[in-house]
Amino acid sequence: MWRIPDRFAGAAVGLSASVGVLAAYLLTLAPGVVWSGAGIDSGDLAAATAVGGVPHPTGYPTLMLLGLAVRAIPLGDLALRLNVLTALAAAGSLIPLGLLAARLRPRSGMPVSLPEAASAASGLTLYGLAPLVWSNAIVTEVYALASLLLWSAVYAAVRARIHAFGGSVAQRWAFASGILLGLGMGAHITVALSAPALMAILLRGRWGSRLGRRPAAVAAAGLVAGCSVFAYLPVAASLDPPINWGDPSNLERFWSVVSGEIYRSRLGGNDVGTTAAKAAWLLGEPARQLTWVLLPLLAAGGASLTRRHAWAALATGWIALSALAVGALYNSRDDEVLILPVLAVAAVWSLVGVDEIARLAAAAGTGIGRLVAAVLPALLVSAAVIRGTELAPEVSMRNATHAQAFAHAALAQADPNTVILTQDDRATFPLWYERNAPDGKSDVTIVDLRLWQFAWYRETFGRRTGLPTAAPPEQLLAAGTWPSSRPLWAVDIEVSGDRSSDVLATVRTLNEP
Amino acid sequence: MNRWLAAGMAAALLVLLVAAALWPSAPPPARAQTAPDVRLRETETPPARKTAGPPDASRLTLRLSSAALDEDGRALPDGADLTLLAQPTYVALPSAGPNLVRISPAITVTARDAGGQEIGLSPTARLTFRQPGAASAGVYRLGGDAWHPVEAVALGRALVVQPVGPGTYALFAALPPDWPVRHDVLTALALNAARLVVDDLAPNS
Repeated sequence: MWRIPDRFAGAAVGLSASVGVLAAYLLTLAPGVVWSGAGIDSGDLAAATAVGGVPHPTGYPTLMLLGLAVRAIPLGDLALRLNVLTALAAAGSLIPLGLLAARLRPRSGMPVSLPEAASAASGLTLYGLAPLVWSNAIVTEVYALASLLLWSAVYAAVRARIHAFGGSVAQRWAFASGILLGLGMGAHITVALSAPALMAILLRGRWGSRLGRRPAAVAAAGLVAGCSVFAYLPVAASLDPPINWGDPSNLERFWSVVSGEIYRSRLGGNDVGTTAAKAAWLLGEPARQLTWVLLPLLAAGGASLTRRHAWAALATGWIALSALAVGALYNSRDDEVLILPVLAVAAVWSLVGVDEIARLAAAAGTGIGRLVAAVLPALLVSAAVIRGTELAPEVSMRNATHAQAFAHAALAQADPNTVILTQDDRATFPLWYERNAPDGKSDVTIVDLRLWQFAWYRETFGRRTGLPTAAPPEQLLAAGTWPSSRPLWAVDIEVSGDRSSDVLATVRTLNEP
Repeated sequence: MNRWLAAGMAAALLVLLVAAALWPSAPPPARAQTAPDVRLRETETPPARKTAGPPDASRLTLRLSSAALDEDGRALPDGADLTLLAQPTYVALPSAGPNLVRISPAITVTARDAGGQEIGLSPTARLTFRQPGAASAGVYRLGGDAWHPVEAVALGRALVVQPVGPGTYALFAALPPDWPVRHDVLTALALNAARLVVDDLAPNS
């Protein structure tokens, strides 16, 4: 039987799964900014990219810098281009996962048969088609990019560990690991939670030895280099862009943005019982998201890792448990997405489990080995095909045109210099994007009344519009001090479901200039 | 590590994941959005609240021939005119459903016969206007003191006035199925409901 050499096995598995899920992502890709679940922030991220600004905390400088490169491509709507970037990042994140699993499998060093490779690729595809992964891959979001960078960093750390101790190749992998971790933190700050795991991989338990500490020190230097992307935030803020969350132009405001100060109250707000119940629910997500088919493989992979690479089991276990803890403790509309690393760890363990099951079957006898070699790939390929077919209509955002249609129409109909008041992400972010798009209506001002409480927001509003900031516009209107030349509109949002078409946006005209 | 210990740990992990996956109920979804809706600092500004718009006499007017108007299947008399008064300064945008524009959540409906006498309409009646010649519809936007035609607008095949409460109605425009949802016309129609005059829906009016 034809076999894939060991050194290509991880890449073959990762690439084939990546190409498969990329096709699914592109077929279900959102056409622009959207209202539905995973993509509500897409309008904010796209608007900030359009103006070279600062999106909501923690600023996501890695995505912003990549977005600026995407902005320079003169092809189609910017929001659509950013959605494609997200899909590429999400599909690409499967490659380091495949490479990592190949390094950790029990028969590492031996060639891989085609059925085994098909099993592994299908297992990885099931991860890529998990609803949580899929829905965050087809509209502009930060989690796919964070996942790509995190798992690339982990893979680089493992390569550094495997290579000759203290050699230059190991140092290069260690440095790359640090840079990727820093860039990952610039994609989503929770990537920083994985730093102890990476350090543990690199240290090899030899903290006492100077030689043993060297890879970790090199990685730390790489981390500093990677974190330099955060310099984007003060630079962008100093240019006074229309989207400038937190105005991180001085040290205090910079820290407020990158530490997510405005969201801190969402961490740990629930009582112990509620948090435990949520943790239990999140712990069940691997089975629900990856399907029950992968659970036995996950357990087999966990056993294999624990026996052969306990350090890898501990490191990936730390990544999963820290993500689970944050997911359980944090309360926001999209907090479930914080457990994406748990699913990725489950995928890696499952892939290791595929090799472990095949090894055990081969050891049990030729007949059982052949049976498993036939049944396992058939089962996993079928599961991936059925999963993709079943979920595509449910996950797809192809027809999610409502948000951009609303924003486009509202701005097209707005009189010159209209000020539009909003109080919901679904209203604010699409309007921001349409207003700040290359052919946007820059004379219109969007005011999110929830942000009026912040000095930086009022300062930006006053500086850019020349309008009074003593009170929110509607209060000035009620007091009769609102400039009669400025039409004032308000947008209300009614939500009846999770889909884009379940949102009703209503515009009220508050004055008739 | 001993292989049996590893196998035991794997079995325990499997049981844990299965038990968690069978957890009876999901936690209620958190509602917090990206823009913070709670006061975290600098709280000198009182919470924003919705402000009703000032009264507005703008009207959405439909004139139809009697043959085109049904009230729960009962044809109204020949020559009846129907006036829809949109709720002042309250207009809506198109996401009520595919090919359906919800123009206003509350519309006052009055019908008059050919002699100008008001016709009593059931407060729960569903009114349907059929349009033999939809392409002849005109939509006008109030700009300054004059009404201007909104270009390239053609209403759909039917308008439905649906009761949303005693005496109030929601007006839906059912659009041809090949109209894309993001069509500017559709949104223009909705956005300007408070300023629109829709006239001559029936060719014989």
